Amino acid sequence: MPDSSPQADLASLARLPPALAQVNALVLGKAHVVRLGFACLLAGGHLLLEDIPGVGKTTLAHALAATCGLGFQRVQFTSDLTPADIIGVGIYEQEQRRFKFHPGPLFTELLLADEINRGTPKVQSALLEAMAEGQVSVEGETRALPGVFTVIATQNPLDLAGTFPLPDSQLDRFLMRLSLGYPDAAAERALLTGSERRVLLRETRSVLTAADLLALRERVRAVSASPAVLEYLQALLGASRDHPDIRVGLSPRAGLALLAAARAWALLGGRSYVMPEDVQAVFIAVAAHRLQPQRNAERVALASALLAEVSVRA
Amino acid sequence: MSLLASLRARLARRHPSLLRQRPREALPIELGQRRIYVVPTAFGIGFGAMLIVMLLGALNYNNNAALLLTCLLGAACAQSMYGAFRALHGLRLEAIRAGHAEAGQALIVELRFAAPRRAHAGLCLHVDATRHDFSIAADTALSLPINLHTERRGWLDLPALKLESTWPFGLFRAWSWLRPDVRVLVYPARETAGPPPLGSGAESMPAPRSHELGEDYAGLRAYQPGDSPRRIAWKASARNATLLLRLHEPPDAQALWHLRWNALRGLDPETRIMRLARWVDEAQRGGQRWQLDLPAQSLGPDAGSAHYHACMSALALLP
Amino acid sequence: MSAARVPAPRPDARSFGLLSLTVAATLALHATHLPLWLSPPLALLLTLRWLGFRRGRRFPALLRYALVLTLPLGVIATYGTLFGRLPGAALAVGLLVLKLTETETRRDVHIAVAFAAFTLMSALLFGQSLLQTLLVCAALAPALATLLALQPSAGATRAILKTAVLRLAAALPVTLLAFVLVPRLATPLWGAPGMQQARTGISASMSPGAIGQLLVDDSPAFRVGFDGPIPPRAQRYFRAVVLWHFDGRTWTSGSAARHLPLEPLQALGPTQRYTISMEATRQTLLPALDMPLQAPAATRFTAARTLLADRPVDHGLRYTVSSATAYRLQPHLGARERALGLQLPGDDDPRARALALHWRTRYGDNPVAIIDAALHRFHDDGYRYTLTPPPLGRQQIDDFLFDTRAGFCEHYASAFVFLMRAAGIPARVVAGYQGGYANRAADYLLVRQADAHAWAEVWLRGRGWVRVDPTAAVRPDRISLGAIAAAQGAGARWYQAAWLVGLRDRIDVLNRLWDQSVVGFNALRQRGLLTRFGVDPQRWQSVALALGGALAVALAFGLALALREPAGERDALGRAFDRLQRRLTRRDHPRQPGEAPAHYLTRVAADLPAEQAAALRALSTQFVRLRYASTQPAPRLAVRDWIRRARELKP
Repeated sequence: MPDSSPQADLASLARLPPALAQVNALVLGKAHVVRLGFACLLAGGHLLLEDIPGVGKTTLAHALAATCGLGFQRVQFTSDLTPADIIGVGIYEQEQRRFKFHPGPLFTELLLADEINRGTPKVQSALLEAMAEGQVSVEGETRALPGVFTVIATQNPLDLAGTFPLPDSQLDRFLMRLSLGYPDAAAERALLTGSERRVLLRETRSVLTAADLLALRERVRAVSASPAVLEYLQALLGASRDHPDIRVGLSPRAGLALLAAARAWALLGGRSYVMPEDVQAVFIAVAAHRLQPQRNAERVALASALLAEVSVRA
Repeated sequence: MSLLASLRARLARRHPSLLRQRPREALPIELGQRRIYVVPTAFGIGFGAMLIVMLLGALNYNNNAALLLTCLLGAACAQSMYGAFRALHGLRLEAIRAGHAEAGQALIVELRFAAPRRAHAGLCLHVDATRHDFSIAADTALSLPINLHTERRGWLDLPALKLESTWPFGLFRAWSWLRPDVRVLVYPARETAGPPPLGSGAESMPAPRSHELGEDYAGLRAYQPGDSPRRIAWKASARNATLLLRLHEPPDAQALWHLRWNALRGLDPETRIMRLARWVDEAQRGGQRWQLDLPAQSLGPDAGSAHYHACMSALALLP
Repeated sequence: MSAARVPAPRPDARSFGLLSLTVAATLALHATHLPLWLSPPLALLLTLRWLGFRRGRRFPALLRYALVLTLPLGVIATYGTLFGRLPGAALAVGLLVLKLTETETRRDVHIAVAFAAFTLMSALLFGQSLLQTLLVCAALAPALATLLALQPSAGATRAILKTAVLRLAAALPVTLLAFVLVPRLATPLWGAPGMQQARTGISASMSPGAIGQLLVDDSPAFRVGFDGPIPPRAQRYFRAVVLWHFDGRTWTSGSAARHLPLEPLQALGPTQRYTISMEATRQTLLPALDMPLQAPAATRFTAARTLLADRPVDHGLRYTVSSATAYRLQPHLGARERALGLQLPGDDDPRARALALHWRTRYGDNPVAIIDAALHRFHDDGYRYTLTPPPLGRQQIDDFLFDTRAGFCEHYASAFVFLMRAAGIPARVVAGYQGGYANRAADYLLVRQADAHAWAEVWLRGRGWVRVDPTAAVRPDRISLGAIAAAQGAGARWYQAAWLVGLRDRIDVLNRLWDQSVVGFNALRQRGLLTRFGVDPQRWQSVALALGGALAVALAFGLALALREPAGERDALGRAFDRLQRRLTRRDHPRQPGEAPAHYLTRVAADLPAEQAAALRALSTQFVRLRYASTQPAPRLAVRDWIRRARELKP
């Protein structure tokens, strides 16, 4: 890490471990997923949590938001939600005789889009567009979203009736897709005996600030990736494009996403350079949902197979 | 005749890679020394005969310079044997990617060859009755698209591939048979013309219900920040002292095509498959949502290319 | 092999261009001995055909048939036959160029290349000098490049040519092995090679102008390596043939001399031992320094102690002889020898006979005085030395002695011996070489054809045959400088500049080496070489074993080379890691597929004893730093340190 970095940066770097610890205290027994979620935030990406209800998706989103000291909004996606409902509307104000824009929940630092697959394709694409651009156009006027604007979306994989699954082409707007899974026995016991999460969340103090997060993202971008790492990354991309069970392999954008996530992971590990291990750690979370399998192959299994097949040249 | 057959059988047992009868093998296939065979070409035999004539001439005339020239030419040409061998040795068939084709169409299969360590020149791949010439630079890979002839739907085993080379001088031919354990799925052929599916809206049926926004709402729920003010049910809100929102039925913007195997009674199975394939294709092109009901499974309702491929695969694999 | 061969595609312009280049080279190498009416038209035809092919044109078939018919007719008209070296070469080159006019398929190109190779080889039948052989070998490069260009996706022309040259270079070791081991034929399988070939060098007869032709020929005749120092120029008389019989025009050995006994020789001083490397002469005459003591193997002596080879020297010959430079040859002359030594033809040249009689009466029985008188006449009476003497009439000796008074060695030797015999002194003409050029780059004497010389021997009582060189009386520098210099007048010329002389010396050393080691590598020397390596050339099993063994070794070596795979474009660190990984794998610690290097090393470290585990962990950490911590290549010193520590690790 360059020595000339400002003191503020070092301070925010020093606050990373306590921040991680705090989220882990709220979401029990999911250290790896929590770390990945943090890496996603650090890499400046959006996060898709896909799991059955009740395993703590919302808790994780809350915990991340609270720990990072981000302004937080939550939108429950339903079939009758319209784009205006999340973006906002212009309302005519009698006294001033003009339309005033009332921003929707989108104008926040961290947006929790609950059950995103229940929203209509129209709403979904409005949100995804905002995620991609970092700004929205309302009535011919472009409005910027906050600098740290991040979306954590959840969806329920089992509940298919009356849902609009996100199209493949838009899934890759999410840097990572994570599943929490059931907690292990010890974590479950702790959950059962401990205080209620909602209470704990309310008591949570922020460890980081939005400014910290922005500074850390700058740091992530400065993490160096050597030719050897890039070669390995390219080998992974190439293998995904050649795999017989994969219809459409990883795009160049997926490659960039993979590199960004690996950089964040390296920073979380306290390093200023990426190792192949970093790429491997984030690969499934970043790549699995971007793979389009040939038939009904399991995406995560395919991603794991790629990791096992592609050798890392020393 | 039987002698020939038994010889061939013995040969196939001893040297499975000499002939086509080689067990199918998993990718990646690396061409090792045991599976590469080298024989002189017709030109090689002719050239060898000429070298012998040159040798005898040089010896007869006791002309050592000519003898030296003959030895030089002979030694350079003998390298052709190794050259042909080396052209194949170490080459890897890394991956095979198949496109999609309907029965009767040409199926494009991409073979990905890699040269992990050094360049391989003057390669020639024989598939069925066509040849593809190519060469690979060192430490690179090359995708070679080949056309496969398809006849019927279902799994198609990749034919045996013969990779050969006469590099560098065309005096020796090295070859190796490749039988990758790869099968490709051939989709059923679509029928060329026929009726549209029931409930597609294309036939003379009453148009499906259409909804106006605001009508036919299914219920109410509490207002959340961000909800559109236009959808607030003011009357109900007034009654309940909280803001309530109207909930609509899911908009039926896209009609659902229900494509059912059982609805096509009276046709033979292949015709049914062909018709269903045409419907699936039309639905996909028209951006429809559709559901495909087959004897053992039901796919959808869904839209998009993944759904299309799932349906066509299911149709292709019907018994 | 395959049923799916694409029906004969036309070869591309490039392979045809390379083929044309090959044929052009073949034509050029044959041009020196092809008839003048053939080479230019063939060159023109080749050029036109090449241009036509590039434009996609076919050669008119009728014209081709006409040319194919004309060619042998022209050859027969020139040489009178189709068979033999010269007509065969003309026919082969012509047919090769005509083959190009019908080259339309890859197969045609193949045939043309094979034929071109054969025709190239035949160019060596006309001379196997180092330069000629090198040129012919170089012409193989475009031939091989033609074959390469026919390959699918062959690459750039430059790369093709490079590959062809590299293949030829790589073939050299096997070439030399095969060259040494291929059994030489003891007797030719067919024909009598060299029958119609022009002889070079001194011949067994001396007719007017015979030596004159040689005197302008600068090509080497033989080289002599002396065991001791090179003798002074005045002693360097190499006798090749002794001419007894004169018929008024031509000196020959004479049939009667064939049956004389060997003249006894008594050495009066130290002897010289030396080895002569002959160029091919297609004759049996072998030069030897005056006066050879013994005949080496495969040669024999004539009565007058000149050497004869058992077989014509078609491909050079090496032999070692000892000679006495001070000697007494045949102190007692027999009646037959005396008769031969006094033989004169009929009654030609009366003036010369009269002069001799005059001396005889004046000096009586004092041969030395008569010899002096003759030499003084040559020296003082307006005789001059020239390579282009005026023509002589029927009375050759008289015309020369009294009218033209101009000539070179053969005139003087001939006239001198005539005078001696007419004066009653037994005398004979000796032809051979005199002088030679001492190469400063290597210690040997180069004798050119231009050093051919003729001198006389007279028999003196008590002293035997004594050498007398009448030419020296006319032009002493003929003996001290050489024939050409003597004819042109001495003086430093630009081509005698020191550096040029040095260069010529070095090139001649190469030529000598070539002649000794390649051209002269005959059955005898092969046998000698094989014996030295423990192969018994008499037993075919032994030879077959050696040949088979060498072949097997060459094959195995080639296979090993073919199986060798380069490490790819790995840097030193990567290769060192691979080595470490191989060592760990041998100790049952393989790397899992897809496992990252650092992870692998730390995992293996967990299985090792503490000390090595620490070393391996340190290696892992350092590797990560070198490999991943920077986008720049790792510093070389640090990499070297890592490699060393990895090597020191004993898992």
